[in-house]
Amino acid sequence: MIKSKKGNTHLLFKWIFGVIAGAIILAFFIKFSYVHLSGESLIEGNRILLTVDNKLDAFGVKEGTDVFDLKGEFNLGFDCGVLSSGTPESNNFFERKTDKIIFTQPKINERYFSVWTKKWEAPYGVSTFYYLKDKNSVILFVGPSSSSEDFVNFVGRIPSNMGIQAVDTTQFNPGDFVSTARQSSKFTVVYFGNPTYDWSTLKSQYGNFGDLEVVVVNLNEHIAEVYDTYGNKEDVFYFGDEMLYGLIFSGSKFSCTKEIAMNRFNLLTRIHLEKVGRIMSKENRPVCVDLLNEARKMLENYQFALTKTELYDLLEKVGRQNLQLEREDCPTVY
Amino acid sequence: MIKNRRSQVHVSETILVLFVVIVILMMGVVVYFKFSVEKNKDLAEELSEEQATIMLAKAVGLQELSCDGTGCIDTAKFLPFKRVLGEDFDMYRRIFGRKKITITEIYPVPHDSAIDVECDVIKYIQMEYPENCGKWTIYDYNPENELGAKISTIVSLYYPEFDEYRVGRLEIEHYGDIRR
Repeated sequence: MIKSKKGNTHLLFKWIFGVIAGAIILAFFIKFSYVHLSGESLIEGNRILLTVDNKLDAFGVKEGTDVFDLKGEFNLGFDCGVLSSGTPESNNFFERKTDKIIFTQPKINERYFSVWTKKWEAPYGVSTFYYLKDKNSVILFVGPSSSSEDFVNFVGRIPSNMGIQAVDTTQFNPGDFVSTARQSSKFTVVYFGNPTYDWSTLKSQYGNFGDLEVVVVNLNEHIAEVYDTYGNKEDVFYFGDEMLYGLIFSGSKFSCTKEIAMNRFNLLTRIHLEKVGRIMSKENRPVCVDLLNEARKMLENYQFALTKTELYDLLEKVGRQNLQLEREDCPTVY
Repeated sequence: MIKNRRSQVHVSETILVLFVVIVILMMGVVVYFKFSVEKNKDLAEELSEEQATIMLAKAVGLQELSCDGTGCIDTAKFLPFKRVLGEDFDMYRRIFGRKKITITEIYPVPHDSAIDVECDVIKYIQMEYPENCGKWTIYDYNPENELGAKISTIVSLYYPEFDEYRVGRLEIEHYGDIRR
């Protein structure tokens, strides 16, 4: 009886030992699989961001337009100099800072999206702007297509694959675009000139389907009013047509991206300012020294210009001064 | 006594078997991880090279260095750029990452005394410039002193001070890493 109990104890000990050892090995493998899978997902998540970043880099070498195929549907996010993939609350959410100035909707969930690159010159080259749009985001231009050449030229420069729709102000009837709005995730109405329907009227027509944004552009004053999806109004100014395209493609996200662009403009102005200073030290011809000195003073002011009037005024002056330097056969600013 | 010893032998056997199994599993895991790390290292190197190749094309067109719209590199922007780089290094680290970017003048062939001599402010203000130096290190970030692979391209160098074009080589040394 006692011996039998001893045997049972041994058997029990073996079982306990086996179960504990088995549990440890199992836990180890579960942990190993978890680490492996999260590592793979980390690589894959970052790889898609790196691929998008590299593709944009390669594409941005020259001006042009194309449709990107991501070979799969990814939840891409674009937020003020940060690219992201995945949903913020999930484990597979990744972010990557980018140096590119990208004007786009906050999220792209499509496999295909259109890209358009354009050099921003003010008057020297500052940066390449990227405009991105998927087919679920609809942009509708409402403007004087029959009477304003500026408007027609402005719309005409946008490549057709960006999928912009345009309608004359006099013919715009919000009811005609309800079915288009129904199929979109974001619907942006861009007025050139006085709006014929205010934000609340448009909201009542399109607001139930997706995000509605309204932009009212004044081409003569280089200013715009931006109404976000909640009807909050923001007054902005744009510096050059390239930036206005940016405003249209990014809507209420414009201000942050504009700030990145203006920082870059400031940086390039600093480079040109110092370049002019250095060239002056090597120049002997008095005419050239005088013209370069004037250019240097303009660039000094340009560097610290903040208002729209100052910026546009100096843009023109610097451009003219450069032309004058060219005519006198002197080294130029840019 | 004998049964007690037998059961002790059984327990020892079980422990031994478990020990051997664990050792084999550990070896498997170590080998797997080694391969996995190697694979990821290869992937990182591949991506780094891809990035460096794109960077080569991008650097030629970078507004901080390029002539406006003519496809050349403006040498008068190098010193101002280096100054700006010092002030905004984080921004440029995001653009270039872990790399070394150099531009060397190759034609006309520089004097022996100027080959591999770095052009700086002192060299620039001398009368002999640009004959007194032949190289610009535009950007250098290699915090872990890694060994790098090099790629290069021929570029047109413009000296606005003398309205003169020369031929140079833009070289990017990348460090097998896509971190910034």
